[in-house]
Amino acid sequence: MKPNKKSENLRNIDSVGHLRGESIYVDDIAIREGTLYGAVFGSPVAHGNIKKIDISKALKMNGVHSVITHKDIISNNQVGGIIQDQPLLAEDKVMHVGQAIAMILADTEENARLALCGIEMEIEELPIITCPREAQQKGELLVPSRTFSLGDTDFAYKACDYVIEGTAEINGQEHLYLETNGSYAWPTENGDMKICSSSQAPAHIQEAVHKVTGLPIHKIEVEVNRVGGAFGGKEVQGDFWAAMVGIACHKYKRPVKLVLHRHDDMIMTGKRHPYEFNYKIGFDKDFKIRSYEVECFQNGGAFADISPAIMERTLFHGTASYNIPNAKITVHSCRTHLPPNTAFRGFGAPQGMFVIESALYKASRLHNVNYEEIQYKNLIKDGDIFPYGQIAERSNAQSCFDDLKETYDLDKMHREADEFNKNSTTSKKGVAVYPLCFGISFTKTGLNQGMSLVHIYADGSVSISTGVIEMGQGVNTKIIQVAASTFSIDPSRIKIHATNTTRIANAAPTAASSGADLNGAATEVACRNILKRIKGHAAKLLGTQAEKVIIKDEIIYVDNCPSELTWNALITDCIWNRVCVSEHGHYSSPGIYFDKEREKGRAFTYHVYGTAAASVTVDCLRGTYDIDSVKIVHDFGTSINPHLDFGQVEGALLQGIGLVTNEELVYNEKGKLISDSLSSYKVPDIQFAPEDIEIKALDTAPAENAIFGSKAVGEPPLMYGFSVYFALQNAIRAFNSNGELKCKSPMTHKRCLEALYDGLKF
Amino acid sequence: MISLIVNDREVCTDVAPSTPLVDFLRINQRELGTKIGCREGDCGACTVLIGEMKKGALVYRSVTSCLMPIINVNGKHVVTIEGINLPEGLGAIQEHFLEHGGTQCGFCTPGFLMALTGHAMGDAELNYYNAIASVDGNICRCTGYKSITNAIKAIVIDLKKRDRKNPIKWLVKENFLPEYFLKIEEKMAALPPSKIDDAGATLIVAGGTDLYVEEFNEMITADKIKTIAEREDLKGIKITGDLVTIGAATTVEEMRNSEMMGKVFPELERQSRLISSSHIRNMATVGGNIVNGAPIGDITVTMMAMDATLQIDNNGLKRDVKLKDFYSGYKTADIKEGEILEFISFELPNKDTKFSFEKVSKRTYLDIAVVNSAMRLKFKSDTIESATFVTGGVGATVLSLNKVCEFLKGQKISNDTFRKANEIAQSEISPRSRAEYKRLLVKTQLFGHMSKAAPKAISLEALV
Repeated sequence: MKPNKKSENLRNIDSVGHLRGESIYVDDIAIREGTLYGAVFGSPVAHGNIKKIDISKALKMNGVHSVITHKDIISNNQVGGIIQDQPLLAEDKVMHVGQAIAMILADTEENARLALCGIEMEIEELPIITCPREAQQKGELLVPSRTFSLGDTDFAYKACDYVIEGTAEINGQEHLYLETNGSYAWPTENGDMKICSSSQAPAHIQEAVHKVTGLPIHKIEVEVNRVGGAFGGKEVQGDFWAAMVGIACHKYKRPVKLVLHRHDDMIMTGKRHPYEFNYKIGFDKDFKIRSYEVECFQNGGAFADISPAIMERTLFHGTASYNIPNAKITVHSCRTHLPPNTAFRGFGAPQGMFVIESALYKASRLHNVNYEEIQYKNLIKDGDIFPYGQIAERSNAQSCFDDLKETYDLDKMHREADEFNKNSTTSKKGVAVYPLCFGISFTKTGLNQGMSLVHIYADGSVSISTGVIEMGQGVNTKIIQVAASTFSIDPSRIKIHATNTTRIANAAPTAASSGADLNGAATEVACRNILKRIKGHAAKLLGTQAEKVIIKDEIIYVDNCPSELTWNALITDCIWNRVCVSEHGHYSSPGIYFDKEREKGRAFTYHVYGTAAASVTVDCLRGTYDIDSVKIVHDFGTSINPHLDFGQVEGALLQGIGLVTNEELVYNEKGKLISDSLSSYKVPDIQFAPEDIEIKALDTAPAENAIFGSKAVGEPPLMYGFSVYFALQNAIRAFNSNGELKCKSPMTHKRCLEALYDGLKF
Repeated sequence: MISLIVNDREVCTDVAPSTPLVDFLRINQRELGTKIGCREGDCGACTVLIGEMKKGALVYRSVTSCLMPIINVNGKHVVTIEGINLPEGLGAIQEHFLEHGGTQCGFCTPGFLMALTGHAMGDAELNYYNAIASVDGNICRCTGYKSITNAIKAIVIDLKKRDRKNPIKWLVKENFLPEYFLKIEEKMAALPPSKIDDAGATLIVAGGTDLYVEEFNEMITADKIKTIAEREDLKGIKITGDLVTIGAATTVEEMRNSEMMGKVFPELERQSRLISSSHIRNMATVGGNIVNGAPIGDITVTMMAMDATLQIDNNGLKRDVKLKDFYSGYKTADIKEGEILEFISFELPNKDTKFSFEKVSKRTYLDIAVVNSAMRLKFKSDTIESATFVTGGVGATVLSLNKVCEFLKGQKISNDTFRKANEIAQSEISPRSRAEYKRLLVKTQLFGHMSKAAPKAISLEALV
């Protein structure tokens, strides 16, 4: 199916509200009388035994109402996700800096924050680990290590012409959603409560509040109107703040609001996982990869959070877009004394994909072989097997690469860089390509379901609630397109409501790029079921058979001839004739399964492909650089809304560029985050972003089991940032080819300057 | 009592004078389109416009409302996103953002729109370069900026037709601004005069851009503060004879746009785009940067390289101090409670003077330097007659590398001179963190300064 004419060019339906500053986020909800404001007191040390918590001074401070500690949790002090290892409020032990110990409640936000200095602690400090390799050596694992393997790597190395070993590193990344985490709870009647949150997963919030208050889930109504950016950072880590306001609201029967200060948000919440790697790769004489082994050390932080699921996606993407007949990928999920690291766009895949790219790059440098030739000849083709047993179908890896070469004249890009480098001594250009392959579906099969509740009202207007969260990606706009096209009505008739647990229960988090696929399909199911009934009624009214009835642009047709009957009239008539014009649609992705015992299965509904080429210029005096251009051919299937989808590619690209360039998480030796503010953690700004970004949609067939043939787009393009990383490596090497090749991301200005002058004498 | 105009209405308030404008807008006025992203001026989500009468004309500038004490908007017009909305639908700038998809999650959007509206109303040349500069303090985490720059390109085309003489009237006619803007001048004139009692205030604030970041609790709990941001006598730049004098309350942006300074330092306009963002430069003062005493202040480095002299007032008693003697340790300066830095002055450079500023930071724009430095070389033909070389980020204070300056006197620029100068420089600096990197930066920046002064006399071989 395709979007109908009226909806095909639909702009993000939230735009007008955003542009007028009228969209409502948690911090903008009308304040209820008697609201208490929270401020969270986090641990000042990374590891220690709590000897004393003294709140008496804080209680006497201006405007303070009370202080919540673990003692106020009457039920289960537990917010662990996959493993029950994380207390909401620390009891006798702290495991990371910023771990919540208490929450102050006061009459204003300012008073709550000012009273934080009134909490006195005595903590006996214990030794800490921040390095994942050290944690693994000491047996500090969050879950047992896992391995995906295919073929026989040891045997295969013996037949290889080239075997290369090495290490690589990729740092974590702060989400830096512009809206910090927040929750606002108020009591309703009968001891129930309503919580508005900036979460990606309202069902998680319910569960967390249920655990800590003991209230049955149906008494906890959670609503998310929209989220001001999330990127995975509010998939699990929105739970804590909701649970805290939940406890306070339950205890004091007052509205309680907590919106995190930026510093607190940065210090207290986890980020993308830093990883370290050891790899060994073997090639035949033509540089076809024969064998690859990688050991990944995931820095999980203090609690498991959803690190086990993230480690799984690293395993799934360990071979990236390459066909490797013998592969062995191992991930250790290591417990350290950092805040629990968590979901972030890409969800462990970028890390797995970075290390194999580093291995290929090293091979090309070591043996002086063209990097792109190595990449190209190893691209995955139909019939090739991924290490997890899924067979590649409808692979577009090569066609994207071919299209990129031709569309953007890749050879010319290289020639121009070479020419420039001949003539310039203090600045150098580099060009590099990155081929992408990313699997779509939650790897936990049970999460791959969507729900949608569709009502049509007497005036013909339509209301839809789904399980998906709008966080800027435009998913609600896509849902409207689905409904408008299925019903063949004007999109302005349709309203998408806030995501609310009383309308949609047990929804999967909006994550894994799956929101539009799952909830769009559920909406289509609901609309089709309604359509069947109203067409049946139209047939009765028009004296014909239901099969002969179609609805086109709000007019009822019989045998392709327009009748007098309109959408409005039909709906009104249906209601008065007791034909149901509401439906709850449910959808689950077909054909996927995964056997954890064997670590094999068909984990993904489909894969997304693409190729990017970046050109950069390095200032060899200062170690700074500009990104001249990024050219992309991306496999959208047949995009349901190119306007939105291109925006997702652009946004993900820049976030990926940030990951490998300027965004640097720094913790000190005490495990305290040093890059804890926007002045010390630098995401790309408008002057750093490349102006020359070109994106071409690969001309390809509609994707199967994707909404309207339109592939999921949220996460995959993040990895295009890698093209910039390796372009920088190329530029550096054009200045100084003697330096040691270190594949450490990000390539900060510091690392860049050091690499430029590595091995040169001063 | 502070009185001001918020969008189209007059407001009188008795909130504490140090209340951050953003809180006044959101909590007291419930103007919720102004968002809180970071509370330290680094994201731009809380950008608003401040209108005030200057030399008989109503002028607007963009600021981050989190760093603006409300006392500094007394008698002025504060414009939030609500204040640029037309009664219905979208204004011209908003329309381009819609068309190009310049908003995704929407949280940063009001800030971008305010900044661009400020650009549309301002007197800077209306071109793409300046339009981008106007949003250099706005962070978006969703779009990758591509859709925003596309929207900006379209806005720039629209603005080409703007009437220079009466921009506000034109902007109202073309749906950039709502009609009430035509009446603001009148309304401002009618604001009740307000007197603010700052007697006994010990906290002195100019732009406030550093105090709200470093001393937030002290700021918001202060009953009284004394502002010098509004002291007209401390604003502006004068050249008398061969002496340049800058009023301490001159904002960095005023200095950057000063024609007079442009003639003296042709590179200043571009270089000072490396200093924080438009919104911050619109508040931060030249004097504030110096008194704050950060060991990395861009202005301090520049002024020290110009061998500037500070004039300090102590209740009428004036004294002069050389900037290079001003600091005694980390954030400790030779200024006592009650004293106010009034003027900064330095010798007017002539055609034989070469001045150069270098800065490397984690991110090129909107960032604090890792190392910054400035060099002033006075030549007699190709011989250095005198030199100053000042570095930031490599010690507890901004450092004047006097031994390097001494050495350079009488030298000609060459690879050898560079090597020796660098050797001396390395002995004078004492970076603590990232020491090796900072030493390398001092070296390459020194090379940068010298090669700008005499490009042909020095080559890359000197570096390796």
